Amino acid sequence: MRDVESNEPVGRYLADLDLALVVLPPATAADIREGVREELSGLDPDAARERIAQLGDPARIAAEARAEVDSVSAPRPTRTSTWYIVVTGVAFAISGFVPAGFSLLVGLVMLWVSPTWTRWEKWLATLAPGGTAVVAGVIVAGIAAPQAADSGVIVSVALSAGAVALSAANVVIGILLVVVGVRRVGIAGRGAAGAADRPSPTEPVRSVGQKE
Amino acid sequence: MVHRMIAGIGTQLRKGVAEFCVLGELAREPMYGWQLASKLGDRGLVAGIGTLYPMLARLRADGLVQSYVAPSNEGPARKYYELTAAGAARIEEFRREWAPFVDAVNEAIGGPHA
Repeated sequence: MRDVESNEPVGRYLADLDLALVVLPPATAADIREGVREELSGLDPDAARERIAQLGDPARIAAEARAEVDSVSAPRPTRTSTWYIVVTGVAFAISGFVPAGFSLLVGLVMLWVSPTWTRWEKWLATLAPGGTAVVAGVIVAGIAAPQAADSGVIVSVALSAGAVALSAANVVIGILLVVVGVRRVGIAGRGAAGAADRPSPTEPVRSVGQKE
Repeated sequence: MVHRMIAGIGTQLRKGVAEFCVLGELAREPMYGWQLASKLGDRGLVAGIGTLYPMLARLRADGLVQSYVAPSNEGPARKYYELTAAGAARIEEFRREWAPFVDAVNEAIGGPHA
């Protein structure tokens, strides 16, 4: 519904809300966001401002939701626990310094089987280091080519650059995975991923007054 | 919406019964999120939508509440929440439990109500 977001105070409020809701499980955040968006749609700017004032600070909404979710959920599933997140991140970060690629493999497996990170984040963590390495290698090869005596030198310099870039990128990815993961599920033992997040059944669309 | 967040006692009491209050409101008629949050907020039973939506998600996961999309009176489509048969049964059970429970608590704590 474009008219909602094009209404400036509404668009800003929704953006602030999205930022605040990032600490919640994705399904809870989506429910709240959709409910607020629904409430603010179709209002003129003054009514919208008033409703936004009634809704209040997005940070408070997120904090309330967090408290509500945490108060009832079961202990967090292993794959979203803090130590799991940290081990995954460390596995990525040290992969450039540990021989045989074992660490990276462990990190990738742990990453993909955990619900902590979104699909997009998983693909990014998997592909970005390799992509960075390729880009670095190509750039260095491009720089070295006019000056190098033979192609063997170019290749080896490019490979070295690629390897360094790969290690560095994996350190960054490892840190990011830990930061994003811990922010998302929280540090305290009681988190919400899994317990409160069951997907809702598809909702039928009905006209007013008519129910199945 | 009146925000009456009494810390301590009020919070503890509310935690036990808030979900049943949601069921109770929905037993009267299906409502959309804001409507429900307003009603319960006015009674001081939820702080706001931040508290309400996770509750609704739990109730849906437990099969007590379901939602559907319909045009509202003002025009834009809204997501309405309603009780399932299980939800209707559950609020009925709660009503049966609640009155004796209140009596028992009143007797236990004494004071002018005993």
